[in-house]
Amino acid sequence: MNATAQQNSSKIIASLLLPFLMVLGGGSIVAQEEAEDPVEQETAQETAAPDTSQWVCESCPFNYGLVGSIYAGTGYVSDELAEFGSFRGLDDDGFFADLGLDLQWRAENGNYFRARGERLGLDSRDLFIEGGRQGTYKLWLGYDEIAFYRDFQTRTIFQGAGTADQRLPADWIRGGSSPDLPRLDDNLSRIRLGHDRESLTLGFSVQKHQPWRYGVEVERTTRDGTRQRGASFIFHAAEIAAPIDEETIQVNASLGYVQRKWEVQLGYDLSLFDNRNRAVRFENPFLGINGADVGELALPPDNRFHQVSLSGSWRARGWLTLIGQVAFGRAEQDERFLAPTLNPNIFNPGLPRADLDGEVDTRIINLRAVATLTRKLRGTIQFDYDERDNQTPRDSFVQVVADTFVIDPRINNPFSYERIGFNASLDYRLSSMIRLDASFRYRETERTFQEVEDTDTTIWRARARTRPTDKLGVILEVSREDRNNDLDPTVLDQLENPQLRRFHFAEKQRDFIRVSADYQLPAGFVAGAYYELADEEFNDTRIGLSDARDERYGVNLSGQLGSRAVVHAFFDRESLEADILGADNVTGTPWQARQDDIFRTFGVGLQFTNLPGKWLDARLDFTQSRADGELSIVKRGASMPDFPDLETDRYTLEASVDRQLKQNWNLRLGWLMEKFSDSDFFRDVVDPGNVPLLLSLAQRSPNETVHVVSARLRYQFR
Amino acid sequence: MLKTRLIQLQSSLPGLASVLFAAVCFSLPGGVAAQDDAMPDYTRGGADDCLRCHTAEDYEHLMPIFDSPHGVRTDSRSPFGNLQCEACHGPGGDHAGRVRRGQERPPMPAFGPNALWSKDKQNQICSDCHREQDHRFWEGSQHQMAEVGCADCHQSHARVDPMRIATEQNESCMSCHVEQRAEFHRAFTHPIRFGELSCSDCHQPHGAATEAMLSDFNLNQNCYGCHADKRGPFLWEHAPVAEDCSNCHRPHGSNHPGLLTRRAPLLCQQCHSRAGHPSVGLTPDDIGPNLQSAFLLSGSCTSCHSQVHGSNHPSGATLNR
Repeated sequence: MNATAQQNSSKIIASLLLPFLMVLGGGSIVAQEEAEDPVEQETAQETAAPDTSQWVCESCPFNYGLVGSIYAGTGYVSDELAEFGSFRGLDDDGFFADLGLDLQWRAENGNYFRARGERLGLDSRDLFIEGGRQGTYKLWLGYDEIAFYRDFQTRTIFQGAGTADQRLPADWIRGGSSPDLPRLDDNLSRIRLGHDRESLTLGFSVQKHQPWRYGVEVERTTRDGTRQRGASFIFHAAEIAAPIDEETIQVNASLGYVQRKWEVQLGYDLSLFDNRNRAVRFENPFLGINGADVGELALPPDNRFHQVSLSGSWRARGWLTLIGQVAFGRAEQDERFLAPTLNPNIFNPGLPRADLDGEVDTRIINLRAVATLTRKLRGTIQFDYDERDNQTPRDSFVQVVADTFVIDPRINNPFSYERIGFNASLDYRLSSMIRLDASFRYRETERTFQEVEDTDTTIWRARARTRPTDKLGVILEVSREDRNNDLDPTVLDQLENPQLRRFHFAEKQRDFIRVSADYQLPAGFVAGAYYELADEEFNDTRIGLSDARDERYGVNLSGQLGSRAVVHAFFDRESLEADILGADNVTGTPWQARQDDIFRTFGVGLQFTNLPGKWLDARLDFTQSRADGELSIVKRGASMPDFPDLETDRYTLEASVDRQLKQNWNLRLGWLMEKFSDSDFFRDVVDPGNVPLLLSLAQRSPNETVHVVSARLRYQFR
Repeated sequence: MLKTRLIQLQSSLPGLASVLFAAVCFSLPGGVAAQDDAMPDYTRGGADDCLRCHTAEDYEHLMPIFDSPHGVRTDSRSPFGNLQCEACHGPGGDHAGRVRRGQERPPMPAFGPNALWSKDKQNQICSDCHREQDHRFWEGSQHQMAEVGCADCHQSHARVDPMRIATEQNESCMSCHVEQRAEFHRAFTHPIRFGELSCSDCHQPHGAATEAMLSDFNLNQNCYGCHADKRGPFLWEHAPVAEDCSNCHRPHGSNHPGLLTRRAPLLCQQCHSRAGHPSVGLTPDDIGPNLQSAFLLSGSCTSCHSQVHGSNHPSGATLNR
């Protein structure tokens, strides 16, 4: 941050903190006066607490000992499909085990033990165990596994795919383009893309020493698997299955002091990220220029993050609450650099330092004052400060582009930002039927090493909530956002189009309107509907995102059918439009691209309880989710044929029914069907060897229907 | 000059507004009076009086409270460790007392049909005991402003509060946040609808300082909780990544892989226009049978520039190493 910017920031912080300090100081004086606190008044007026020593609760059906259930069962998956199995842990067709438990043991003295597990037989599962003495302490242990599958059908020629060293087959013959690779088809073998995430959490907290509270939680997460990465050599690239072998350890500790009207907490957060692989080495399947036969992709380096935070709240008066938090953090990264190139034909330029010695300081402050000014009027002001102060040293690094040739050195840019925000709002209950609120938000962001140093954004928002009848509620909301910046186009790279305006800090106006209503229909049904429109214009943009529009509407319905059934249904449609402007080679042919994504989601569900006979519950849920992505481009003043649509079309049908077999034994039968009909021209037309400059893994869109039938026996302990 | 003055004025406006607000706070009389919250007497026998009518046979759905943390007599913080039913529902003397023929039985003050007390007062009952740290930002939060009550989401009578179970919690959130229900059914999304992630893994429903009530101090820190590999710092950083993950990602769901807002190359061409291949507008001709362009298809830009979140490679200035 430059000196002037720092002075401005300091003035802003001071001008905002001063009134907060006034409120804080004034509040502390007022709090010592005779109680005007309505809570205090209520306490004085409250009914005197009775003598509960005679409240023996002999009718209370306290349960001690073991309660809960365990279940075991099996299911069958009709087909193997990555998109279906992802997150469900069903990566194979065929039979699977279905296990779970929900147990609790409780003693009269407050000691307890609780265990809950779901899908324990699958690769996506979780188990949570907790125990302790209520009101004194508790310990917990959690295990969570999430399986993410991208594609099971991808193919690669690399030996050691999914590892840190990927080599060409022994009989490989390099070519100038992928159709010119004679050994390609013979050397393709399947490789699965996806990974498993496993988390183990251990924690404890103590409530015994009230008003002090403290606790610690440690979580260890590992990720193992593969992900697609591009490995390139000057306009030739090969998609590889890069390894994922990572571990993250997080520690969260807190010490709190809690009173009825105020509380304060000191917190410490630690994150240690460890990547078992520094890089993935890969050989060039194409004819390399200048002997570029091998390269190396850096994988995410190990990093550490520490953060200390202090937060608290104070009900200064019955109608005034002050809340605040500050957090100071530091992220560090000092992994030893890789070599600039693995090409022995290129003189190794050497490095200015052995590692980055990267360091980023973070500072976050949030202050809020909430006041119930009158019975009808409530006000809130909030101040936010968020700084990323990148202290990483700068150096000049000679660039070896794609292990092929040397270009001028580049100096690294350690990006920093500083955000200051202010928000003021008023909420007024005009009558029992109408409630109004309005807010003003101002945010200023300063950045380093970018063509825009300073943006300031103002957002005005107004909302009206009405209940014209006791059955109808309507909410209307409008807002307007304006963003300005101090763009200096000379900071742009000399090869960039000088008319480029990067959307995330370009000048823009955004108008938003939302209308929603809910209505109580006869027979206990409730219907809702909403419409919203957000329109963004980047008026100063001639190259880049120039317009964006988000339009959405939907309806929903829920209610009870008789005494045994509940129904819900919803429909949502969203349309996202964007215009992106460009020009070939800066001064060449201008073009305008339009992207329209249209989403339609429909769902209906029925839930039955207390069915006749020994049937217990039943459930039926159907959801259809469809998206159409339309891309078009106008170039040379003429419309080109549209790109093929990007389509995702999913139907999901789930049904289950529970039946009592005998006392304590229930049987659940379930059926899940999911149909995928996707079309994605980015992927579907690509084979490993039909894109001349690309050796692809050839991902495919799913087009399949998968069925799962399952049966589960549950034993209820009480 | 004008711009300087405007900047000075802008920077002083928030301060002026705050001073005015503070002045208003202290000029007003002692705050809002309590709403009309009647204070009847307590019952004589506590829960035994309640259970005379609310029997286990007729009110089976209420009985799991005796299996729950609320039903622990040895914990003085637990309702059944002090005022029993009336710890939460308020004094029940009027409700449980004699009622004249033809007269409607008075409701319980809190948490029941036609409850007497305001939602704020009912919420205060819960927070008097649940003074955990994550309630600090409740005042002025979006849920408080929307008059969401604790009992609108939590079930005190359940053995296990459904809010502690991911699938149940998500269902509860999505009963109001219908748009998000639709988004979680999109092709690329976080695993909310599978119960592998709960809304509270990212959001803090009890209130937070951030705009979207995020659990962490800002959006990027929220994401780094699960995606620590993106934290960096990197030798070669990608500026919009370090600033805000939502510049490129849509966390609730998208029809583009990686939950992206749009595909490369257009995603990248919003910000990159260098002479050469970055600036070329690609057309359907680039997927024709005679020319399959690697600049468009499959990973597009990321086929070469795959280190979009940043690179620590000395030769990685263009994010291709």
